[in-house]
Amino acid sequence: MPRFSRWQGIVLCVAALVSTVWLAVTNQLILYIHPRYIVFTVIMTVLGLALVIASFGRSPDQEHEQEQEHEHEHEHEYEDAAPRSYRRAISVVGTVVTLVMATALVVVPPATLTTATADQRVINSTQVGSGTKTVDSAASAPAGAFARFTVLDWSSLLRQTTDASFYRDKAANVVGFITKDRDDPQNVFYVSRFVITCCAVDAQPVGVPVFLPNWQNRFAADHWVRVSGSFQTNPSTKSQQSIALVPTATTKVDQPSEPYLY
Amino acid sequence: MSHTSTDDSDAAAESAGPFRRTLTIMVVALAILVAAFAGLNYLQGPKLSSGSVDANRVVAQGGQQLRLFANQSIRDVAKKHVSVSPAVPFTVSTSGAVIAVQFTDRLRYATKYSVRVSDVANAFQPRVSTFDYTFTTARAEIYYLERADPATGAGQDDSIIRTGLSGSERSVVYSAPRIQQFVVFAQAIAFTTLADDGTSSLSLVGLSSKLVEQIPMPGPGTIDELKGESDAGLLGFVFTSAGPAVAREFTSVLMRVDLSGDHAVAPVPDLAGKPLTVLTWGFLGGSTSIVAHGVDQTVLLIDASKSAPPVPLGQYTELGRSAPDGKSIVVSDVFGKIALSLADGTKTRIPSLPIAGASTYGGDVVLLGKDVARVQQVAVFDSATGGKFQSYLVYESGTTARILYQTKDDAGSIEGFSISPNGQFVAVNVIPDYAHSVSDGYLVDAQSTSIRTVIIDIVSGAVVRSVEGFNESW
Amino acid sequence: MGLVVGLGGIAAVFVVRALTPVLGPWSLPNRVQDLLTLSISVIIESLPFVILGIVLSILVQVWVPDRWIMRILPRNAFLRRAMISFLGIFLPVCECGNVPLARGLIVKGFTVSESMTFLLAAPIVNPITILTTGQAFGFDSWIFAARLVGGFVIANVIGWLFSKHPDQDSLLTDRFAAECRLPDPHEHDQTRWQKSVELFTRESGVIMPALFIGSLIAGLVQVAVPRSLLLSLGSNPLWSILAMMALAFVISVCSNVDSFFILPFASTFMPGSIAVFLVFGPIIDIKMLALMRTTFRAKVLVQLTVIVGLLSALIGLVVNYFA
Repeated sequence: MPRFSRWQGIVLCVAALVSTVWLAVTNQLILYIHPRYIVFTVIMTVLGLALVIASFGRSPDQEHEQEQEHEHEHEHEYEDAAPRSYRRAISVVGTVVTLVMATALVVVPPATLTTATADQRVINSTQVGSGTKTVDSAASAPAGAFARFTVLDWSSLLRQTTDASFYRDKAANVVGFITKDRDDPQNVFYVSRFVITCCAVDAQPVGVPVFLPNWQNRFAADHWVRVSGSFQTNPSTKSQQSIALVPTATTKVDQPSEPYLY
Repeated sequence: MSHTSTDDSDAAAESAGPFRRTLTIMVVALAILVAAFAGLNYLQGPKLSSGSVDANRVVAQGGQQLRLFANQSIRDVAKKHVSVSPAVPFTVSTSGAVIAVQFTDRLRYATKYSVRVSDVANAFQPRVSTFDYTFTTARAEIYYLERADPATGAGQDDSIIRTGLSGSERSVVYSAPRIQQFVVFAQAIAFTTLADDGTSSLSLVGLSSKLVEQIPMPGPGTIDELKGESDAGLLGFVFTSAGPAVAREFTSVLMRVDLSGDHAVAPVPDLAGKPLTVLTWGFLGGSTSIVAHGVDQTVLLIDASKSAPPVPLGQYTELGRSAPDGKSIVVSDVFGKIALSLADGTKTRIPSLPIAGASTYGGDVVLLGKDVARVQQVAVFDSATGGKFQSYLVYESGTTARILYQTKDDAGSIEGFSISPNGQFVAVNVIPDYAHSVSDGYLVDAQSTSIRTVIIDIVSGAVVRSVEGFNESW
Repeated sequence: MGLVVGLGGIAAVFVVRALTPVLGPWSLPNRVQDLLTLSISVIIESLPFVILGIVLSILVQVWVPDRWIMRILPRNAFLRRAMISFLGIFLPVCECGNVPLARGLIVKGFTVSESMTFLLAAPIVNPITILTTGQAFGFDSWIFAARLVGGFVIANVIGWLFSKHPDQDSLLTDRFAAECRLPDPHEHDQTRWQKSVELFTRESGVIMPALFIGSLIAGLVQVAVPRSLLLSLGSNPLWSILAMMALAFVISVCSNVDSFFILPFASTFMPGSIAVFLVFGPIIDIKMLALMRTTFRAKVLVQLTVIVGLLSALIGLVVNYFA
């Protein structure tokens, strides 16, 4: 068992480390973690790989010797009351699961989170984080600045004020993927993004409601779109959003290289 | 540290007795403490953590919210459980832990409002609590123009002055020779000055930076009817090119300047897309919309923030002023004045009500709110004094009229008036002794050197402040 | 020989990794795709910290002279544990890296209860966590105070409790206890470098499977439990605390950044429950239990979880009552 567990540890290390290196090289680490961790992750990965390679350098004799010493410890391994077969089954299942995970890590192409998570986590269910726009700062921003506001900026503003006059003269131009509005899926969708504080696990979906009647004729959920237009009182009667982006242009775009916002 | 063997697990269990005991005592003690505090929390109703209201916006605009943040999410609050004193119309909505009290109308200046929400309940708990929140709205500030008296010598500066409505504190915000008109914005003041040849120039001065920026005109000419909309950062005026009438490029053309954009002067287009020539014009309070009275007597509604074509509202002999909330305007046809609601297009005749049985002749009028309550300047033919007209400022509502202001001994003249954005005060421009008034001799917008502005509380009719000057900007 | 095979293996994995995306998009169902993305992100996020933890553990075990750490610590058990609670200030690893480091400290001569104190205190009482918590909630907030004091108190209470246990080794898994008991087997013929590599192999063999399983469970729960369920409980003084403990348990986010993660919830959840999230999360969550199981017996982890849970709940309730 110890020999196997050693071997398993190294295999898992290789799977995780090599994948990390490849993701870093192809600039896809940001699909999983916040950019601030990239340098640290790369340094630690290189260090980890060096240790893994060093461990290959150990002679088989040594391993064998080691293994024998551990083998008789094995006798004490499970002295708890639980039956041995049950224990063994658990451990086999655990090993299989880790190996499946490792294979997935290596084989499945990296991807962003989808609408499944956005729906499950309820869009805009949480309030603005740090570093987002406040009404005061937005009110004094020069006119051109609004064109660079992201989905996150707008959604935090929408959360703070639904005063239609505030949005007047503030043209929006945002990119995000489509998530259905629950109340009026026919006419309203959210152009949404995930906001990451640490890694994809903590992704919070944020979105701006867009009023585009029969949008399903042209788009589907999960499509990435660029929407430009202005915020107005939501023409939809069913939607609970009082202000919506009424687009002047909606075009399909490729998924951006940095799909998450921070 | 010595690592002892664990082979004899019975012995270990026995010697672990004190540990077991401590563990049990600790778990029990903690469980009791947790239960005790859970009980205390359970019996404690929701608490008010904080409240927020913008004391400045709440007097400047209707529809502003007081947001009360409870420390936990609460059940929807019924309107009957909310009271506001002094009483004002409001609506209540609850979302999560936030109670939003939305004031339908603008609130009064410098007034302490108390809001009490009773029966605030959490969905899970038996206890209800009462939230009390008080806030004081911003004091009114008024800017006015005090021109130098030409009698004291030429070349002196005119001043734009800021003051409150109580006390006598005042501060000079900006001074320059021959200021014609001005408009106050959030960050700056736009003002026009007159050159010796009677042409005007338009400048902006930063309220804090005091930097002056001159805005170039499309040629020499005169500027009149300078008006602005602070929230939207829009400025407008009527421009007439200098020179003989036949050779002018612009004659009484409505111009607009977007202060949030490039500060360029551009003519407002008429229905045909040509520069619009106007008789008079004005912003609708609190919006980017303009109403203008064209030379063909068509009243046009124009969104000054877009380049969309104007919307004609009909032909009228006169365009009056818009209500402070921008929802209605006053127009005239040959039969008299009409209140025109912009929301649904309804028209209501607004007659000049008699005062003490004497019939009146209506002048300028401003609607105060949704109904036709209004402040109007009226003239009464006074047969007793032998055919003299007396000038009054009256508050009219329903079928009654109440005099808000008349000059002392009826010797003076009411030159104009304006209503504070929240409809609380009226500022009246008065020349106290008309017979002995001296003009300051400005080529455009000349004014009496003795002009005063008197500020009156519309509800009580009390005079709250009187200052030397005119062109008040709220 | 092993080197060649190993390098060949690494190269092969790299080639597979580089080639598979070219084979076209895999139209996995959204939920499966998200499960993988979430689990992988936990692995990739934790991996550098785990390696840092193992490296620090190696440094402590192999490179720091014997009894060097022991010497600077006071003799009195209470003071000693209090000092150990602050070790995290000098070894700022977040909780996933702490497990290998705590293992290293036990091997080096810490008692089990002392290493527990370190394990529980270090994720909270460390400069990065203090800074991020302060930035997120303000250095004068109830939440900030509750977290720091709470973390310190819990770690010391647990340390004191388990120090009462007469047989410290019986708290450990047999396998780890056996490892500790081993006098270094190759003292005579191994260089420090060889020992380091040997330790790395051993530790990664224990920690990596735990990390993978922990990540997968964390991902599964994320996909399965609707967030709205937790949120709807958020503003009740009692349920919010349980909901936050559940969220902390499930989400397994690092203590260095959990303040920023939880900040957006601060408006809907009561302050006490936020404090609970920040105190309970770094100590007990799915990933940590999987990692700690490598070292401690299941029974110990249950006792630990119960006491930490009760203590955090108490802190949260007190904050909710007074704040």
